[in-house]
Order: sequence, then structure tokens, then C-alpha cells
Amino acid sequence: MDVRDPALRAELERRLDILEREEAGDAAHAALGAGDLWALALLVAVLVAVGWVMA
Amino acid sequence: MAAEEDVTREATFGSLPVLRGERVWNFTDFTWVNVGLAIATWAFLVGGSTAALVGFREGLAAMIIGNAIGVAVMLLASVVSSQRYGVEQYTILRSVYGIGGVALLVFTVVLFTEMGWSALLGVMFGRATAQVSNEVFGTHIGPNAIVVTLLALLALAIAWVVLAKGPLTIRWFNRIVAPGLAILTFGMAVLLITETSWSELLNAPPLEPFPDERLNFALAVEFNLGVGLSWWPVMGSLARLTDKPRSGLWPGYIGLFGATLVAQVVGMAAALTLGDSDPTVWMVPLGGQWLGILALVFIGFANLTSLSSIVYSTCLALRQAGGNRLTRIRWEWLTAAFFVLPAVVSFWPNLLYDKFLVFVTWSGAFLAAIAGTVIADYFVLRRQRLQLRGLYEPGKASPYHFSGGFNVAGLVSTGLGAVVYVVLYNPQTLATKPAFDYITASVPAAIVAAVAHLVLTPLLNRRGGGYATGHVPAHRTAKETL
Repeated sequence: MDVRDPALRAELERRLDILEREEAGDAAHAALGAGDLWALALLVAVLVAVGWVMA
Repeated sequence: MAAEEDVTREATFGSLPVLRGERVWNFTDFTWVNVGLAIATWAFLVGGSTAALVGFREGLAAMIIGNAIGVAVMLLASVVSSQRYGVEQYTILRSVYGIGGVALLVFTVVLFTEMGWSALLGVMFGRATAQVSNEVFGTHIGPNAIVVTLLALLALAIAWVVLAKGPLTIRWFNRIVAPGLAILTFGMAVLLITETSWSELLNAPPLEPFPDERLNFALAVEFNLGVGLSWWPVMGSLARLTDKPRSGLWPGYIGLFGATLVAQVVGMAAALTLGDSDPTVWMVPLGGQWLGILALVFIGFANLTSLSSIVYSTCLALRQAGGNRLTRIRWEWLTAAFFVLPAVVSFWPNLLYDKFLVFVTWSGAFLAAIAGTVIADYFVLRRQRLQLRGLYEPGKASPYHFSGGFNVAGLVSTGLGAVVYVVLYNPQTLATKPAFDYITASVPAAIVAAVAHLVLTPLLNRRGGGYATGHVPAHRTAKETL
């Protein structure tokens, strides 16, 4: 992608402006919560334990 | 011309951050996308290759362990950041490796991995079509005959024609293939359950095991880890279209762990029951002549679709990472150039197909190290905060310019992780260290790459790299991170 292309640069700036002004607080831009990370780690641990016992 | 316009639009505007209205997938939508992605013909091949090493119970255990870890690591290294910033992963990756570093990885690891998958799918099409010919016309085409090569070349040529027509044709094909493969998997499961007893399946011996049982299990786990990691090149670009962090992460896990496991287990059961790891051999004995032929024709068609999808996403990544020079090359020529190496490999049909484990674990060596580096960078060093505007700034104006466009810390860490992998388990010679039986090679490779990145970054990037973003005051966070 050539960010020096005037048309593309204008579109990029338009998007960045909208993201900064209108979407800064959107749920879409939230960081993945610690709860989800721990839940994933726990799920992986349980599945590995299940596999280990099964083997 | 329309195809060139479609592709140019996706290759350029596809690199830009998506806005609220363009995030079209919620939790349920993205779950179905991933289920469709997971139930592909290669899942049968993975099941068959796992059955070559271990029996049903150990194979199921290896699939659960390998995919549980591999998919989780892969998702954390691709989906999470792309989802948050609405940006495809090769642009996000500039914050880890620099723009030159990304190009280096895309033109080596990603390119050769995807070329390998393309060759594999082409040969699978060749073998499926040869089986149809053997059944219908009474021919005796062997699995490595020159006819299989010619049919594989035909598959590559058809895929190229489909690609030349642009992304809309591929999407149209995918709408037929995804539900069709789900029906095929279900049908195979029903036939296996009705024609095979549970005890027969549990007692079926592995097809081509090594003498050491512990090594067989460790290899099966490592192989499935590699399979889980192998989704990495495509997932970030999809996840940017999801509406919330949870809509990116969990559907990825449900689809790529859950649905893959179902298709792989069906493949493994078929391989153990019929005594052959090649999915193209199962269909006629399993479904009878005409149902089997129908299934083989469909597998051939599904492989063409997967082939086109893989080459499409890889060539887009090449264009995005390759800068102005690749943008100037016509789409048809770029995709044609991609097919050269897979076409050469097709002359040795058994090279990748019968050495599937070797291929998957080689790519896993690099993908595990990349994943470890990316996770350390995004979650630990940057605390999930990037300067979105900075990802797009040219040259030294970007905080992610590093040294001449290369983040030495990231690249060295990834290299170290890959070296650790090969020391523990050499995919080429199959030589292993005793620790491999207990800790695998992918997990230590990812951990070493992550730790090395955490150690090397403060030493090599004291001022550059935009690592201070994590310390901006709270009231400035939203603006600076977006």
C-alpha cells in the first residue's frame, strides 16, 4: 500500500479522523479483557489435562 | 479488468482500518466463518496422518492437546490485535518486525508455507480425480503416476483462472463448498459408525508407527500443534471485521478447535478402519462406487476452492508487504508466478503429500516462534496498545520504523525460537532430544522467542519502536491508540 498516493492518503486520514472522533469509545476497540485471557488459559489447561489422561 | 479493480481495491483499501459499519461479523457470524474454514479437505489428511503414528485413543488425545494449544497461541498472535484496531495482520505486524521485517517474513515463511499447501491441494485433486478415473473407466493410475502430476497441474491452472476472475468468484465457490464438506463429514461419520464397531476402532493399530511409542505420541501432538498454528497467515485479516474482542477470539477457538477436531477425528477413524492415510482412497470403499465417486468429485472441487482462497490471501499479503513494485505487477502475472513452485513440486506427488508431517512441522517451527514474539510484543511490551496512525506513516516518520525498517530484536527472537525448535525436534531428520517427548518443540520455541524478545527489546530499542505508548496518561489513551 502506497501511503503517499494522494487518494489513498485522503481515505486513510478520513478513516483515522472518524476513528478518533466517533469511535474512540466503541466496544469494538476495547482491549481483550483479563477475564477472557484467563478463561482461555484455563480452557487450554483443562483440554491438555483431558488429552493427557486419555493418552 | 473488473478482477484487477476488485483486487486492487482489496489490496489497497483492505490495508486501511475498518470503520464501525464495516465490522459485519458478530459472534455467531464469525463462528460460522470459522466452522466453514475448519472443515476443509486437509482436516481429513491431518486425521489420516495422525493415524499413521498412533491408534484412535492416542490420536484423539494428540489432536485435543495439539489443537488446544496451537489454536490458542495462534489466535492470541493474530486475531486479538487485528480485531481491536480493525487492521489486517501484516500491517499490525509492522509494530513487531518493522515494515522491512514483515516483508522478509511474508516473502519467506508465509510464501513457502502457502506454496506448500497449494502443491499439497493440487496433488490431492490429482489423486482424487485419478481415483474417479480408476472407478469409472477401469484405469489403473497409481498415486504417484505422471497422470496425477498432470491433473495436479490442471488444478493449478483452473485455480489460476478462478483467481484471475477475482475475489467474487472465490466467494461464490466457498458458499457451495463449506456446507458440502460439512455434509460429507457427517455422511462419513454415519457410515463409519454403522459399519465399524467401537472396539474395532479402538483396537485398530496405527498405520506406519515408529518403534518408540512415546515418540509416536509426541510426534502426533507436535504435528497437531503445527496444524493449529498453520491458521496464523489468514486469521488476522478475517478478525478485523468482527464487532467486539470476544467476537474475534472465541468463535476462532470454537471453529478452529471444535470443528477441526470433528473433521480430523472422522478422517482418523476412516484411515484406521480402511488402513490408508490418504483421504482419496477412502471414499469408494466407504460410500460404495457411485457415492464414493460423487464424494471424490466434490473433494476435487473443494480443493480447487481452497487452493484459490489460499493463493488469493497470500498474493494480497505479498502485494501489501511488497510495496510499490509489486503493486505495479498485474494480478494475473503475480498469481501465475506464485504457482511456479507448486507446479514444480507436483512432479513429485509424494514429496509433500506423503511427507505431510514433515511439511507441517517445518512450517510450525517458524510459526511457533513468530507467535511467541508477537504475543510478547503485543500483550507484555505494548499492553495491547498500538499507535494506529503510526502503522501507516512512511519511513522514519513511523514509530515502527526501527532500524531501516527492521526490528532486529523481533527478528533475532523469532530466529532463536526456530533454532530451539529444530534442536529439540528436527523435522527433516526426525531426530529428537529426550525433552521433546514431554514438552514438544513448538511450546518451547514460542516461549524462547517470547522471552528473547522481552530481553532484547529494552537493549536494542531504547528509544525507537514506539514502546513508550503503553505509558501515555489515561486521558490521552483513546486518541493516541487510535
